[in-house]
Amino acid sequence: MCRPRGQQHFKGLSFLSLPTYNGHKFYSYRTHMSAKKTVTIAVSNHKGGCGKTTTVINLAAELAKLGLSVLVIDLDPQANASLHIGKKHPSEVSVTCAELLLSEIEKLPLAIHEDTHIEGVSLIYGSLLLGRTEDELKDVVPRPSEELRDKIRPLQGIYDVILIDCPPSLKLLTSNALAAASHLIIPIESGSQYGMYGVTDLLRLVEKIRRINPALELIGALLVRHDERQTVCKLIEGAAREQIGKLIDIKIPTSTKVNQSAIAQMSLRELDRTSKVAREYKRLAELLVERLQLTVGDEPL
Amino acid sequence: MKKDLKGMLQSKLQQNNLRHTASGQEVEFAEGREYRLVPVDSIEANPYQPRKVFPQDELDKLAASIAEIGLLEPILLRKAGDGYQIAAGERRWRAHKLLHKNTVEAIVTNISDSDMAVFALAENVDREDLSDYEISLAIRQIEGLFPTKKKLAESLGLVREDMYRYFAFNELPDFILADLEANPRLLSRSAANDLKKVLKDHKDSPYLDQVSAEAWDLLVAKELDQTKLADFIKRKIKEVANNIDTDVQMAQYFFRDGKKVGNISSTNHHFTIKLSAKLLDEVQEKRLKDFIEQMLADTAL
Repeated sequence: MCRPRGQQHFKGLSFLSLPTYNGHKFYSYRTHMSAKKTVTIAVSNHKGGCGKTTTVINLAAELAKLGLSVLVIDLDPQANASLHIGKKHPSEVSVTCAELLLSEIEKLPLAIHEDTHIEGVSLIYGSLLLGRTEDELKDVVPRPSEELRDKIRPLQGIYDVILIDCPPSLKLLTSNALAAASHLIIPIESGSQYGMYGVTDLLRLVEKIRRINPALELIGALLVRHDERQTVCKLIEGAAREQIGKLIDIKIPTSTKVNQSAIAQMSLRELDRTSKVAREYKRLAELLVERLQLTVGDEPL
Repeated sequence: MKKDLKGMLQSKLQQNNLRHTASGQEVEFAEGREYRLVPVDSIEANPYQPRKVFPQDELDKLAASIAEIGLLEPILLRKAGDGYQIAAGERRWRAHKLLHKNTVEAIVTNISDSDMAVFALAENVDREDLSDYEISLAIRQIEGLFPTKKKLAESLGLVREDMYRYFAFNELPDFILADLEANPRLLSRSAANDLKKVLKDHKDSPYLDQVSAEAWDLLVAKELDQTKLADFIKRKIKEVANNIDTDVQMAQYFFRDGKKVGNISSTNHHFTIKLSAKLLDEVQEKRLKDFIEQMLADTAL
C-alpha cells in the first residue's frame, strides 16, 4: 500500500514510448509480466446522463489511489471523460480512439497518454470523430465489433484495470466495448423510469455479445444519484434488482460535487475527499479490488 | 474556503468553455437525399458537363419514351443558389423541356464540386459517343478540384497510365488541336499519347514540323491510320535525315472530290509524282508514262 503510487505503472509502460518499438516487444514483455492480471471493465448504459463518465473517472482515481495502474478508454464521441481528465483538448490529439480503431496496431503507443489530471491514470482519448469511425468500421473490417479488443490486446498484463467509458447508444462502439471487456457495470439513474427502460435492451445486447465474448461478466447495476428518502428511488432499486439480477451494494448519492469536479477537472476525492459521494466511489473501488481479486503490488489487498 | 471554491470554479468554467469553443471541432452533418418534384426551369446544367452538343434525334427518342412510359429513374440534383444543378441526367432534363413538362422527378442531395465533376464525366465516359479528346478536355477542366493526379484518377476510376494518355492531348501542337476541335474523333488517347511521345523524342529534329504536318495531313485525309501516325513520323524523320535530299519541297497536292489523292514534291535530287493506287485506270497510266517518255525524249534533243 505504501509503494510509491504509479511506480509499476510507469515502469510497465516505458517500453511503449521506445522509438524502436515493434509488435514483437509487446509479446516478449508479456511473457515477463504474465503474472499480472488485467481486468477490463466497460461502464455502459445507452441512457444518457446516468453517470457513466462520473463513474469511470472516479473509479479510476480511487483504483489508482489504491496503487493500481489504470487506463481509461473514452469511447464516447462527446469525449467528456477526456475533457475532464485529459491535459489536451481531444481535437489536439493525433491518435484518439477514432484513429486507433481504424489504423494499424502500431499506433497503440501513440494513443496512450500517461499524463492526465489524475495521477496514476492513463488515457486513450475520445473524439467527436468517433461518430464517423462507427460508420467506417462497418465498411472496412470484417468483424467490426472486435476491433477494440484486438487493438488493446497488447495491454493485457500491463495495466491492472482498464475502464471503458461507453457512448449513450447501443451501436457499434458499445459492442466494441462489450467485446473487449471482461466485466460490465451498468450505472442506472436512480429514480428514473427512463433509465430502467433502457436496461432491458442493453441486456439483450449483452446476450448477443456473449457469442463473441462468452467470458463477459456482469458485475451489476450501480445506482447513481440515489436518494434513500425518495419513494421512486426505493422503487427503482427493487426493480433493478429484479430485472438485472445483480445490484451493487454501494449506491452513489446525488451531489453538487459531481458537477463541480467536472469544472475543476479533478476527481471527486481531490475536490473533497470527505464528501459522501467521494467516499462511496472509494468503497466501490475497494469492493471491486476484493471481488475481482486484484493484486496491488505482490499481495492481494 | 467556500468562497475560494466558487471563484476557482468560476474561472475554471470560463477556461474550459473557451478552450472547447476555440478547438473548432468539425461536426459531421449528412443532409441525406430527398426525393421530390422539381420545377424544370429552376434547374441548370452541370457546370462540369463535358458534352456541349446533344444530338437532337436522341433527345427526341428519349422524350418520346418519357412521354409514353414516364421517367424510369429520377435525375440527380444539388441545390445551387435558389435553384438546382444537375449532377446526373442532363438528357432526361432536356427531354422534359422538349415535352414542355413543368416538373421533373429528382433526387436532391448534397454533392461537392469534385463529385459533380466526376458524375458528369462518369455519365459520359462509358458512352461511346463522347470522344477521347472531349473526355480529355473535361478531365483538364476538373483537374484543379483534386489534390493530386492520383486522387483524380481514383475518383474517375481510371488507371494512372490511362489518365496520362488523356493528358497527352494537351501537349499536341496547335494545328492538330484546331483540327481536333472540329473533329474530335481524329485521334484516340493512345494515338495521342504515341504522337506526343514521338514529337518529344524528335523535338530537336529540323524536319519535325514538316514531317508531322505532312503526316497529319495524311491522317486528316484518311490516308494514314491513326495507329500508324507516330511510327510514320518516326520513320519519315529518319528517312529524311538519312537522305541527302535535304530540301524537300511540297510543290502541289492533287485532290479529287475534295479528297487528297496525291502530290508532287521536289528536292535537289528527285522530282516525285505520287498518286494513290488505282486512281488512274490502265489506259490513263499508260498515257501518263508515255507523256513522260515523250518529255524526256524532248529534253534529250
